[in-house]
Amino acid sequence: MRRSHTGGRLAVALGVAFAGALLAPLPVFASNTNFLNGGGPPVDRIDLIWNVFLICASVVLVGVGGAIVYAAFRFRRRSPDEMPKQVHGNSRLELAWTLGPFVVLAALFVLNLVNVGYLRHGPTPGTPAARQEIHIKVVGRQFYWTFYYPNGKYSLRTLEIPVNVPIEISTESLDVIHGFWVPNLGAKIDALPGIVNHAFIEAGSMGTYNGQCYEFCGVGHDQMLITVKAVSMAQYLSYVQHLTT
Amino acid sequence: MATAELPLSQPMHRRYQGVWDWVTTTDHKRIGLLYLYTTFVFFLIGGLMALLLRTQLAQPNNDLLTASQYNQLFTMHGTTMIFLFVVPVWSAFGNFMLPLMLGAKDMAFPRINAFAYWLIPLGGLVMYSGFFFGGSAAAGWTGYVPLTEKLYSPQVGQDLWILGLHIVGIASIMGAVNFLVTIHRMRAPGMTWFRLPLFVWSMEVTSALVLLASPFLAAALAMVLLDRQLGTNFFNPTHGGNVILYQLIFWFYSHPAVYIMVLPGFGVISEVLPVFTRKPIFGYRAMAMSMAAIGVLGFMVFGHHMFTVGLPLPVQIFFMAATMIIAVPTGVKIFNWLGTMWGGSIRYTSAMLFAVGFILMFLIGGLDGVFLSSLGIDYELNGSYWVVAHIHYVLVGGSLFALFAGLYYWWPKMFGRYLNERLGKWHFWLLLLGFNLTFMPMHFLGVMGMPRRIATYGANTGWGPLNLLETVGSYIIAVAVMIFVYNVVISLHGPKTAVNDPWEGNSLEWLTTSPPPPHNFDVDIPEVQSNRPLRDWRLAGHQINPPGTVLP
Repeated sequence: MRRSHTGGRLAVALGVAFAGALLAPLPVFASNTNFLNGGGPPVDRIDLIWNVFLICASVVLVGVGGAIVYAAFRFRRRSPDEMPKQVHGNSRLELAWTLGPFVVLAALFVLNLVNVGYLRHGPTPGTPAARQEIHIKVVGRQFYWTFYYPNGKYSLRTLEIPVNVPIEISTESLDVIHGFWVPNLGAKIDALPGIVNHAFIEAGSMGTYNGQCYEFCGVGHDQMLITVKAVSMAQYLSYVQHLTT
Repeated sequence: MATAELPLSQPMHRRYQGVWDWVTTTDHKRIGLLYLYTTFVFFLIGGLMALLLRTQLAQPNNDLLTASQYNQLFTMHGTTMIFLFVVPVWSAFGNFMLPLMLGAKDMAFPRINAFAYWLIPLGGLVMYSGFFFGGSAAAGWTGYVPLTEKLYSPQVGQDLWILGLHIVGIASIMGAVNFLVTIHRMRAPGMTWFRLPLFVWSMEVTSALVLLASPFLAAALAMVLLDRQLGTNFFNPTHGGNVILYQLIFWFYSHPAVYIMVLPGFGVISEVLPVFTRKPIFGYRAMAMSMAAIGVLGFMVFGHHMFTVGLPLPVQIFFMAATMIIAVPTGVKIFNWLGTMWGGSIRYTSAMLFAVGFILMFLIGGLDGVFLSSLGIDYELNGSYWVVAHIHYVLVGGSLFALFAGLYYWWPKMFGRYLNERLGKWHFWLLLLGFNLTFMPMHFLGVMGMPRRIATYGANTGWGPLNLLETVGSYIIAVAVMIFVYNVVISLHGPKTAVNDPWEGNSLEWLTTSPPPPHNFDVDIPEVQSNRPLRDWRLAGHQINPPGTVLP
């Protein structure tokens, strides 16, 4: 048991390196559909929740994972007749590691609780932000999306929205279940046949946002792409007015 | 208990020879081996499908497989691995080891046992036969409606998939009844509930889950079948049906099914760790009770699969809370395994390596699951590759690693021969490497917006390099599995040298010969005094191995 501590130190180093390798790359992977890059108020809110979870999970992974790797090296059998102390348990320790995670999870629960209403339904009704909401109907079918604007006109596959305006979307499907997901604009939502769902997206800056169907819908599932163009309010109004359909 | 004498009081039947001896067997050990062989073949088939899927995804816009072929393959990969491999494979250990661990002479219902086994290959064949009749099921292992309705999936393969699952489900239920009765009625003298091996505890909870949950799967599938074949409208919204109903019933089975697939693994790890650390399991009662807690809570979290279908917010919040709470007993298990290792005298056999690997991988699978329990985060990650990563960290890093730990541990008892330890270590390290290379990047891809179940993706998505890495990892997994197969082949051609108790075991299966005789024990079983009866007797000076035995 008292042999060199090199093994133990090596174990801790390995554990930290392992955990670091797992967590470090997340922000560096470039992708135009990475929700950690932000994109607007709702996604910023999700990223906040994500960051708190990531910190908690990292602490647990490094702490518990490191302890497992450390124990795995540190307590190797040194001689064939070695007989360790027969510890059957430790009530206080066991109570601590039952209640400890409970408290942490309760905090994470509250963090979600105070945010889900906004993420699902958008700004509180009656507030200035909510009053300027625009409603867009999203219809999925095998294998493309149709977007109906408030003036009754529609576009296929590409949706244009004004920047910095909460967009209330309602989704439905004309055949099987589809899923509307534009990672940088807000919470995803299923498009169901026979049931209308509501969700909310908002773009924080002008530009093009990509997404695609996330609920498996058949042979064309991978072709159900979504392009969202966030433009100025003037451009948006002009766009919907000049839609031919 | 008098029950242990039951099988001997039956009249001797004529024994068949050769293959018929196996076909007609009701011996729990042989049935256990049949489960093992059969499910392992399904594992290899499911693995080959996975390699095809990974090869297709190795680069953007790949056209190795058509979308239709890809959809059939990922559907049958998931179905095979879940329903034909991970769920029934625990019946291999359950059948072979559970009566031995209880000191019983067979399972409670040997004929039902044999019948249940034979339904497994039948169910598999029925499902696979779709490939020869216009294509197999292609709507995912979850079989969501209305995609599985006749209008969208006209092929008979979808009906065969439903029938196959029904057959396998019947087998599960019969097996569960058998395990429950065996555990409740056939324990050795002195073996109280808190002296049961934890593997037996895990089979008790698992069997209860199977018994209570499986009928719901059968009901959901029966409704789809009626819609398809008799024109009912359970899930047809234009005639008042509801597509969410299917998901509610399906997940009421399929979430407990996750625990059906991993709880026996918890049991195996809780057997292997004490033996190779020379310590008792840390917090035995907490381990047993946390499994029971997981079993109960397992029925209350199914809604977390449906956070984006538009359930009312209070319902979603309830399922988020329940899901976070189930992380507590799961965490207790990981801490108690760590407590078992701590201060122990750890010997790294292949079984122990797999056990430690299991704890680490399952820790990751638990933590990435906590992300999904969060409504806010799930609104991004639901249906993404993060979910694929999570299920594989639980079912491969969890269940499969535990299965291999159990195989290396119990192999001498099952076959009277050892597996090669050097090959076992190659198997472990390559599997650990390949597994993490394959499934760790799936977390990142989920964050990068890659949805699951897409047959291909564009080059501009930026998903290519990580997918290529995963494909490389999957081939390393294949090499690791081939090493294991080679190890099995040379072991089965080697001499039968295994002694009764090669690892200084704690439980009763190590009391008898390796492999055990048809009636299991030639020796009398003394009264059980603790949850480590064999250790008690060994320390009291009883000779369990022949004198002069050199342990491996």
